[in-house]
Amino acid sequence: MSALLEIEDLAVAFRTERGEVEALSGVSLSVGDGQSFGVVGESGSGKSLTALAVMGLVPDPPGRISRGTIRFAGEKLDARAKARLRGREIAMIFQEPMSALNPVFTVGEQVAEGLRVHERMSHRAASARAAELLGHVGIPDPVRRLSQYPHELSGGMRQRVMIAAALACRPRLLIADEPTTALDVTIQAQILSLLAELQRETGMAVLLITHDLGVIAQVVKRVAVMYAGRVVETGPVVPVFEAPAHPYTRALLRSIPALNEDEVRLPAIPGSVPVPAAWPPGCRFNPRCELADAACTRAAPPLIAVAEDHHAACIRPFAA
Amino acid sequence: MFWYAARRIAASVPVLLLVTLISFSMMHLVPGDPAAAIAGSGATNAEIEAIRLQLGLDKPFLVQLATWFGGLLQGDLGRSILLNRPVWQAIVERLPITLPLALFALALTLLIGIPAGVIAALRANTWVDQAVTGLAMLGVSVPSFWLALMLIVLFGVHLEWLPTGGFVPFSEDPAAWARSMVLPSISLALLQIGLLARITRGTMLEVLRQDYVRTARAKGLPGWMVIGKHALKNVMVPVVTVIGISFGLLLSGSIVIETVYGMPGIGRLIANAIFGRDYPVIQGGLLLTGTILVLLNLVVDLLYAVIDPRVRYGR
Repeated sequence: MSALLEIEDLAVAFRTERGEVEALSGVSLSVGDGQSFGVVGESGSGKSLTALAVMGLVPDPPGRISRGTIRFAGEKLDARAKARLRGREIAMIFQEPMSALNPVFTVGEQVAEGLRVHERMSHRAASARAAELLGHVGIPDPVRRLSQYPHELSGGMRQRVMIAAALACRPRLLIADEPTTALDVTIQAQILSLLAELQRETGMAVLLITHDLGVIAQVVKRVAVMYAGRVVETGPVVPVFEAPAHPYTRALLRSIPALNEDEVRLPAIPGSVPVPAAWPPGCRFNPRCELADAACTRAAPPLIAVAEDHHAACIRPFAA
Repeated sequence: MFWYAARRIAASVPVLLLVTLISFSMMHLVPGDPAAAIAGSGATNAEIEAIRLQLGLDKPFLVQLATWFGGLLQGDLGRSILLNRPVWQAIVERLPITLPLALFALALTLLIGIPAGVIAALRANTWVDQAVTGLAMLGVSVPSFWLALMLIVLFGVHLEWLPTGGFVPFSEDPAAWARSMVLPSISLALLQIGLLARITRGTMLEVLRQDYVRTARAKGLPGWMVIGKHALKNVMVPVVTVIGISFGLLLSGSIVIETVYGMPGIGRLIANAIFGRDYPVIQGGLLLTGTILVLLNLVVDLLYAVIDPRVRYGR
């Protein structure tokens, strides 16, 4: 499988009152054509920022891409190339379908406008196609929905509208940033299976960003675990989840409540992700890691192979 | 939408009634005898009595109220004491001065205020933003009489491009009419431009942070569409309110600008009436101003619903 999206050593820095602070430090990952790839991590780990950097939507100022390259289908992406591919080859959906849809335009308009701009469709043709797309993402009575406004729809329906708008120009890569976080559990499952189904049908690649490990396990083939602006572990989803090598991944997996256990306390990871300005030297997880010693504070550990196609950034990874 | 409009219109009826009631009460809020106050300190008893009879102040309160409302329904606002003619006529005569002035000033306000605010927001915290914000501040704080005088000195006296004042009716000489409007419109508009630019800038900055603007960018829409379509329509909701208030103030006439430029508009009519204790004209002016503001508010409310569909429900 050839790589569709290749991110290499990507760093994003923000200007603050106390100088420039790196919020993303050397992230590398590679998404194959038609593959589903998951990025997990707590809030503040830099997973959304990675997606925004691919889209060319990092708020600038104060942010900027300070290092690294992003390739899409072999082409190195600069700001101009990103602007050209946005909405056509690479589409994105967001966490809050309420605030991500414009309240003062109809659903039909928001799905159809991309078609008019990118494919130069007429008003009539774009509306007809928008209705088709809405029907396709499971919205009943799509023709009537065209003239409705976002506030007239439920959360799940709104996210379906977002998906329809994103898929309008048949992108090769869909970036889904926490697409189910704001939804009810039953709706979450529906949206996830819709995404999986659409992916099978269209053959597009999906980059799914979430803090929900359950979601990742359900829908993706490969995963990258992020912590404090770095990838700490990456590989196929089964070995990463069944035999995690990085202490952070292990701790993360342990903190999922199991339904069949009468555990009184959940083993939560103590502390929280530090802000970029306060990142510790060496391995950034070391202050929260139960196995850390002096060696862990010296240098940032590189990603090393712990098994075939399975890498972890830890100087003493758990053996598989 | 229909029911929303119907509710809004119904809601403005009691406000209009209140406005007329307050205008009517003007006469009775005067301490002591209104007839004596109108006649002035040197008046004889016979003169006071004549005024009392002319204004119907000798009749019971409720009869006076009924007469006032009856007159209103027939478009009769009473007779001016100073001008000795119907109040309505005096107002209508001055509309050809105040109305075009207000329209020109409004046009300037919209054409300059909104783009300036948008540009400042897009270039936030740069010299462009600072220049726009600074000029807007200046526009708001410079006294309009001073500005008017400076414009007269520059364009009227030194450059001699435009008349220093006075009003030429359109029917007499359209070109001279237009020239006579330029400086007063600018003087009137500057404060409004400053206000509108600041409101537009602030609202646009807020809208630019919204998720739907990011979505519009993620869709790959060109920048002018992201700003001019997705952001601007949301910006217009609060901005329309400000425009409504601005236009209301402009239509009520400006005493200062009309005086400096020697334009006999509605502002000066009301000012003269106040100085001459011409109560019927004051009443008429108050009624006119109040009605204009209520109607403009109604228009603003309806525009809200056109711009933002969420407004049509709920309320």
